[in-house]
Amino acid sequence: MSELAIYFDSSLCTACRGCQASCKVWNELPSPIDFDAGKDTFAGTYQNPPDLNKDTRLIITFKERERENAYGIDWGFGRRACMHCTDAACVEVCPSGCLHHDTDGTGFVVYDVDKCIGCQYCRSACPFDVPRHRGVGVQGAGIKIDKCTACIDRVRHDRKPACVGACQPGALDFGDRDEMIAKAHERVDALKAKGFEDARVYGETEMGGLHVINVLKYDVSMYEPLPDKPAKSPLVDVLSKVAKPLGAVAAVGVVGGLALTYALAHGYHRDKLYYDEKNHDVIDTDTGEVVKHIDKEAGER
Amino acid sequence: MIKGYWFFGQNPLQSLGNSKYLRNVIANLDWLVFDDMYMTETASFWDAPDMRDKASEINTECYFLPIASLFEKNGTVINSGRVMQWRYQAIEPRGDSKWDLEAIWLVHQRLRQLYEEEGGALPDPILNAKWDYAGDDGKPDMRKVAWELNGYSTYGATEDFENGTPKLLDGYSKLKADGSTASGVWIYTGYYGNPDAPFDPAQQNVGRRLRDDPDGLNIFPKWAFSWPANRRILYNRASCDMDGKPWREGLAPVEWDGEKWVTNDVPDFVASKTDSDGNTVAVEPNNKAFFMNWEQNARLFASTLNDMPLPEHYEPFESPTENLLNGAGSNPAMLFNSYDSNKKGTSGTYPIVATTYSFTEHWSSGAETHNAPVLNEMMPTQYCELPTELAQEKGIENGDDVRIFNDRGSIVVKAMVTKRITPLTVNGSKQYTIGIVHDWGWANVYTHGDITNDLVPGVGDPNSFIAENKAFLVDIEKA
Ligand code: SF4
Ligand code: SF4
Ligand code: SF4
Repeated sequence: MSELAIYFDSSLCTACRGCQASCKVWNELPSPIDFDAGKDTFAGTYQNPPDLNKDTRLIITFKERERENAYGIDWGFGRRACMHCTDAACVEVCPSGCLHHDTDGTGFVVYDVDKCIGCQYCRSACPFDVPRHRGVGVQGAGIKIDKCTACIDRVRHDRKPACVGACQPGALDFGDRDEMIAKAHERVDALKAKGFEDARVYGETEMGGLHVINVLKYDVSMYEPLPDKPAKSPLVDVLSKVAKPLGAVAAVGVVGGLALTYALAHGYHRDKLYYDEKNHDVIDTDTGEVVKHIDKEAGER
Repeated sequence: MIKGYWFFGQNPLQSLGNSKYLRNVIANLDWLVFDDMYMTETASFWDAPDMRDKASEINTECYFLPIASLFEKNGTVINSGRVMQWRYQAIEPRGDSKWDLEAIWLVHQRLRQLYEEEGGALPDPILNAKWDYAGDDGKPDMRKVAWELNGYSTYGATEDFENGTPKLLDGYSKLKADGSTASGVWIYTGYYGNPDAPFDPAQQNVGRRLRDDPDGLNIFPKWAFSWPANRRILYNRASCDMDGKPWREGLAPVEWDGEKWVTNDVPDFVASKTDSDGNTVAVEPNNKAFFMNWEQNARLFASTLNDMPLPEHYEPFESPTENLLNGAGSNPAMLFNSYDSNKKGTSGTYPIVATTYSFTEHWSSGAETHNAPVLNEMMPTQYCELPTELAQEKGIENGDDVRIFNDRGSIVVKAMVTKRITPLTVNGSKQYTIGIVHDWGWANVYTHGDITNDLVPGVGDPNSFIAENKAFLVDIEKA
């Protein structure tokens, strides 16, 4: 497959959030069902839930500001989800081989959830603060990543991602990355001609090239928390150079001492654990004890 | 003397203006029947926060009939674009829930039995009602109802309905005023008009699904049926000039080619006629574009509206200003505006103009959408959008609880402080407007809120009866 990309045009988006709902429905991600869930944290905005979470891979962000132009107001709608970086910091730091670029060459960053050891380095490393994790487990063993997969299960069967399929005004599109980039430039030119002088293409070069190509109608501050110039955190090098080889040696485990170094900065604490892929056991490398057996047949992951 | 009311899939005690007043007076009825998929504010009016405590004093007898959802029944669906489509049942209704029609059917049968056994006032409409729509299973057959709506020849119709051989009519031009035909709704005639397959909706216009789109006009004339006469665009003659030439080349549903009308849509004007020899001849372009009017012309001065022959501006029932355009105030023909229950407020007491609306995630009274957790998650609570300046004046922060009130009611919702609603200057002074979403109530399983329509006056438009929900006076404070 050629390199593909999701296209998002913030100037055509009506913030209907059909994409956000579709993502949940296709990917079977639950929504809270407690009575009046979310009422107390409601912060006076349409942006709900307020950020990505373990069951939410995509949100539309809202930001408004007054402006002295014919419209009197700017209202920016952003698409917040994994950007599918070429230079993917998450892939670089992932010690277990869970996160990886799709082997078909689409450029999408996918994961094998069975390999996730719950270390959450990816979240610390991601310049867009995307990956989230669910579950509780013995010292992280039951914790699993969740983030946008570019609906790779659909893409492999020649279908557009669920979010793209839901978009009525054509703000979302999907196709060859080159085509999406060309389309984005055309659109930015049109926006500039209309007086939106800050309009820009976001994703062509960022992080070695994203596989989400964004047309931003306003300057990037209207799409918070989107960074103007996303960059690898210095942590990435440390984590990938040190943690990864060791992780590989221990098959998947995270070495206690190292983890502690980062735990000081990030509040994580891990014991040395080992995941036996054959027997699906999580084993304490110190004691050899089976901390948790993953019952695959019962659907546990 | 009205003794009771039967609600079909409606939630007026949430969606009508002056809701608080209405839910209090409805308790004077002897009985109520609610036919719905969900428990609504109407079906549980006695459980309103302001009525709950004295619910034991309410003597109204209430029946809730659980009704099948749209996936659990078949029949005709019609959208507001006039397209009628046949929908097939996908799954069996859950539990004891039934189709709406079956519910009416069972009640009718029982009523009829009671009238036969015991007699009663005005028996004729019940005992003589035509009600021969039973299918093989004894339940109502929606296809037979479709025959009734579409229309048929009445000659031998009683046997026809028994034998499944209705003489269906293919267009309303076949309807006669002499009793030889019948039709439930003349504008539908032709939607189910194929007498060769009365039991197969797929062979009826309403069930066809052809994707042809001549000239790429997005008309799709053979996809289902559009009432009346499968006309997709009303007044389509107006797409051409006096000579029948399209105003926009290549985008005309009808066009005069010099000899005849070329039609991609069913003409909504007289395009041909029958001459004295019985031949069909084209009618040359003329100025008669509106053939439902007796003179077939457009009307600037319309005699059919109850309040005015020409458009006029009126202020709402409650307004912060005089009517500066004509001095008339609000519409003199407005309905129900003299009722005391409306408790008209003035801008002296209630200086803020409020409007109400819905938003993407929730539909109408929210009975259906509030039962989808994914939608609740995207907008978890009822809110009011208010201008930043007003919020500052009142000490209201984004996300605070605010109380909005007038003499009709008082509700508490969350504040959404925004620059998108700017204050206006009216008669030289600053006028604030706030916008309140109305899709909440107390009856939902996952989320609850107040009834925004408690604040709205119960007045109506003199032509459509549509309530004036979109402009009224309130005050607001931090709750
Ligand atoms: S579906 Fe399209 S228009 Fe709606 S919020 Fe998503 S991107 Fe925007
Ligand atoms: S956006 Fe974050 S999670 Fe997605 S590929 Fe890039 S680094 Fe990884
Ligand atoms: S591509 Fe799929 S997983 Fe990613 S945001 Fe869209 S719907 Fe969700």
